[in-house]
Amino acid sequence: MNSENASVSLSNIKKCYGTVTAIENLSLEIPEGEIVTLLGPSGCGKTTTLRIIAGLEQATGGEIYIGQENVTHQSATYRNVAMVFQSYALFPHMNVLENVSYGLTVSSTPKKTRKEKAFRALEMVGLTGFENRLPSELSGGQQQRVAVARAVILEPDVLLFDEPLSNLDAKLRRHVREEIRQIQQSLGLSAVYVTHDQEEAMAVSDKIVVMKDGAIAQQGTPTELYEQPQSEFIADFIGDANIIPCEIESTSGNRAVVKVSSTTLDSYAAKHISKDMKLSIQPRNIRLTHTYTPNSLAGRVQHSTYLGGHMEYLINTDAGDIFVVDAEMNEKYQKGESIHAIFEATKTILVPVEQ
Amino acid sequence: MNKTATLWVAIGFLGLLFLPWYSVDTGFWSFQWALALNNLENASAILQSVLYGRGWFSPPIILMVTTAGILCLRTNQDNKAKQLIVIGALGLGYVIAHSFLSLESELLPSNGAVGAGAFVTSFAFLFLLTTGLAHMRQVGSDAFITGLIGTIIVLVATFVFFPISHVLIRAFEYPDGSLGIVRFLSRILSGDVWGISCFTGGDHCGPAINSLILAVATGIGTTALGLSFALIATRTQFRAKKTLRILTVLPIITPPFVIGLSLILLFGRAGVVTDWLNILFEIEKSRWLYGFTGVYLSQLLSFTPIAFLVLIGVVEGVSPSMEEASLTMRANRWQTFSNVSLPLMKPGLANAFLLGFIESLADFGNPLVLGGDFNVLSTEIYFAIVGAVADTSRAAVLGIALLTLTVAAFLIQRRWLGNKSYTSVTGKGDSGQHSGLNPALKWACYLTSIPWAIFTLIIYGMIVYGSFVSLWGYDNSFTLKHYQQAFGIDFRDGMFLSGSAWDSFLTTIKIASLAAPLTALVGLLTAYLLVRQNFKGKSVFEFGTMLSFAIPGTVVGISYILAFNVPPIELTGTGLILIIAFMFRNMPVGVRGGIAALSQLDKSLDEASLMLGATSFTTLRRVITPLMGPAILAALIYSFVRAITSVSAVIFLVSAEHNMATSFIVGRVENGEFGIAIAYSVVLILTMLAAITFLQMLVGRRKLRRENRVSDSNRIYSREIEQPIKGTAL
Ligand SMILES: Nc1ncnc2c1ncn2[C@@H]1O[C@H](COP(=O)(O)OP(=O)(O)OP(=O)(O)O)[C@@H](O)[C@H]1O
Ligand SMILES: [Mg+2]
Repeated sequence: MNSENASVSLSNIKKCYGTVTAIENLSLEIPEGEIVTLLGPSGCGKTTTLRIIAGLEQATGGEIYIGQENVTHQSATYRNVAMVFQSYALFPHMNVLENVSYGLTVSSTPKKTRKEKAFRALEMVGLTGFENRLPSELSGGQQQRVAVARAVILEPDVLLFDEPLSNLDAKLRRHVREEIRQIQQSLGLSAVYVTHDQEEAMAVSDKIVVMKDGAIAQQGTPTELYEQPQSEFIADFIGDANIIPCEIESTSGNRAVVKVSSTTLDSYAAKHISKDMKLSIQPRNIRLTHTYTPNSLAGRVQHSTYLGGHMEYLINTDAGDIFVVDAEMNEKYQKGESIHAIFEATKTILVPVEQ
Repeated sequence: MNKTATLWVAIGFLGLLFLPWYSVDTGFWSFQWALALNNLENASAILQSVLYGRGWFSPPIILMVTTAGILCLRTNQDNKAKQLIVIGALGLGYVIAHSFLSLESELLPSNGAVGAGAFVTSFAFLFLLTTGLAHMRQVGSDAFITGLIGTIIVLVATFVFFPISHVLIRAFEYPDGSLGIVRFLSRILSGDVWGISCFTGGDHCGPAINSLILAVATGIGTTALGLSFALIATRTQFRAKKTLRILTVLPIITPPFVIGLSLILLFGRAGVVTDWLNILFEIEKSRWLYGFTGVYLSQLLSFTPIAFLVLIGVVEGVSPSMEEASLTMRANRWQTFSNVSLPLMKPGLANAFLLGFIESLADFGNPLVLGGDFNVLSTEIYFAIVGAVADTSRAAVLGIALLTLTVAAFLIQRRWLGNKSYTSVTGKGDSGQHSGLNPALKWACYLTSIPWAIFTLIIYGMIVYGSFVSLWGYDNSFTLKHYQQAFGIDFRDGMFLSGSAWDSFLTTIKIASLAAPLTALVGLLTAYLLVRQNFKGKSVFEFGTMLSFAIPGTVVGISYILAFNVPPIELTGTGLILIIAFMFRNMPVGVRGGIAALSQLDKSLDEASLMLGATSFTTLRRVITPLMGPAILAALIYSFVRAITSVSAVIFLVSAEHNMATSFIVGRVENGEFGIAIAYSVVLILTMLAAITFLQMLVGRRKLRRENRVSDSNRIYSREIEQPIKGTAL
């Protein structure tokens, strides 16, 4: 079951709270030394999955391996896993040094080693000199880094993050997530990272696992998910794509010709073509012109918004409203103008219709 | 698992091999038994079976040896765990069954009361069982947690449910010892208990009816007064608001009888007010105070502060923005109050009413002093036991009537009000101002509360004053003789505590100081299980632990004498039974306080600790306990003070050797020696104030030292300190 180089693998995990099923048949592998991000809408089971890996929740069914060991029935205390909590969970009555060395203290590591390791961990997160402060005397970002230092000091097999940045302001978030990425890579740690911010997910992950309703919707590298969504849900969730109903006229190789209302469009065909497919295209892959161009839909500007760096348009077409982002801004279109929306054939993808 | 189980097997062998199985006459802690281990009375289980050929000791010994064998084998851990569960359950079951069944046997060395050996062995089996369960992840997350759950279940079963079951059984018993329901039904439904002749022209109602009427009246009265105080304290510019809050501390440090005695000093036949009325208006001196009026008055005085404390929270909890919303819709202040604020407070008011209701039902001190011919259940139970003929089965029947009423109120409070609070303190900063009261309502509050507050202060003043008066009403000269009689110290040859009260005073302090930490420990650990652990049957567990809250002290008292006067668990006459009674009566308060404090502690702190490799025991010790300081303090103070002031259960359980302050005072009151009784009460109040101040300073200083350390979290709890006090105790 367990592949050679996976540091954590879950197989057929199921979790019920009473009658509520939070996780259904989830199988997942965290390769050695990589960050895997769990991404998905609120309530899809990200936190639950993370807590099952941590041992804070017991799975209702299925098995968990860490390295080669089956830890399904082991409690959190005995798993070699560390976690950085959303609220940081720093012990308010202990100073930074005591917090960071807590894991070593409770495992009765000699005082000298304890101190050495703690100082090294603090140095790594850039908090040398803060040893005697209390958590309440640190800024949010500093607390965050103490939490990371406390987690990595035990050299865990896998490091877990539950929305570690959600308590930070937008600017700091970008900075801290790079730091986390850098620490993880310098230590060669495997990590599972939970977030519901897709940009954050793209930035930190080697692999993204998108979850929906307690199951995996799709997993892959950020590029794969963004460019080759395999479902309407992923196309919408990751790429904010326009999803347009269509009929397939013909296919040849990886190209397909589809009909949208009365217009025919050229598009990229997925491997599994079925009868019920929809067209998916991201807003920035649509260009607008006044003159007719092949591979375009005719429409009318219903709404236009100037956002400094780019323009956003809502275009009214026969196939429904479509959303367009124009970053080049060669020309500005006014409300009510008739225009053509050109669909870039290589970026136009067919996705299966959701049941 | 292996390590823990090995430890318990070792302890089990210790119990089986060295400790006397049966209770020893010389007392365990004297260790005289250790000198003659081979005597029949002192022999351990193994010696009993080897030296005296008592076969019934073989099963536990064999089970323990088997366990040792199992632990040495290298078999599958899961199988081992299952075997431990079976052995633990068998062993525990056997020891319990044997303790009860062997009572019939002729062969018993002593009277058959179990001792240290049986105790230690039972716990060893219990922990083998829980260790196995921990491995199977049936309950709790590790051996410490399952062990803790097991311990608390066993303790509550032994010291709450087992004694109560004795009351039930006794109530169903026929004089010849057989059980049956007919006699019970006829007795519990009889006019003796439920008579309503006082409504139809007769002179006496049954005690159950009296109790009910009194409880309803007290519930209404205390709620109304409490609301009026709470409105003044939160919705007016009244200057002395802070002083009003002092009133809320009074009832917990007031020994029972104090208010009753003070009322007697004022309104009794020789009372000050009675005298004046007699002189000024020639109103005849009468005994009007003794009966419903007096008990009602004293209960109002005693329990209004509790309603006040509960209702402050309720009144403050009504979100100001709702009132502001109403005012902006052109409602005036009266309309706002009656249409918005009052309905929002309804659940809180109902809660305050039920608390007053339960308190009144369970109250023993006030009716005892002032009841006269007005019989209520709690005092009737007492008189059934101490009367000319001790009639335990009548006491049991009355106990069940009382228990039914209190438990019903308790259930209503939990089921009906449990989740029905509109007033909640959200994390959102609820800015805005509470609307003021309209003038009529404001003056109504002032006119009821201020005289009442002054009256309360006079009552307490009378106590101090009365303790220095020679013979109230007859010889009003200043004297110290009451204090001398009670607390005199003779220095003639060395120091000799010659005062008559010293004995009971020192016992009380000793027992209270032993009971307080134990109560706090059990209460807070239970709270920890309830808030932080998930296990099967948790709601039943919670209900069981909170139920003892609804058992009136007098019922606890009779249940303990019925259950623990006979083997296998013989405790009457010891100090231990008092400690245990206090532990389980005051435990719910510790539980409530602990729940309040723990809910404020972010659960991720525990989880972070677990993730870092700490066990739940280490987490409890290093993370939770330091952060619970104030809650621990509150639980300690509360249980200490309750142990000093409680009388209802104590009065059944004291013995010549272990007399308690309150029962000493009862004795003086019954002899009409009011002076000493009052002086003693004053000393008790001062002692409790000193103890509270001392404990607070102790923790206060610690807090200062680490002020900036826990600054944030401490601020959260400081409010919670009041919490346990808020909870009632019966
Ligand atoms: N203790 C619990 N009892 C009952 N249901 C629960 C419990 N914890 C989680 N759930 C349910 O399980 C589902 C998954 O919850 P989970 O916390 O894993 O979501 P999430 O993906 O982390 O969401 P978010 O992004 O909002 O944090 C939800 O439907 C939730 O209501
Ligand atoms: Mg979550």
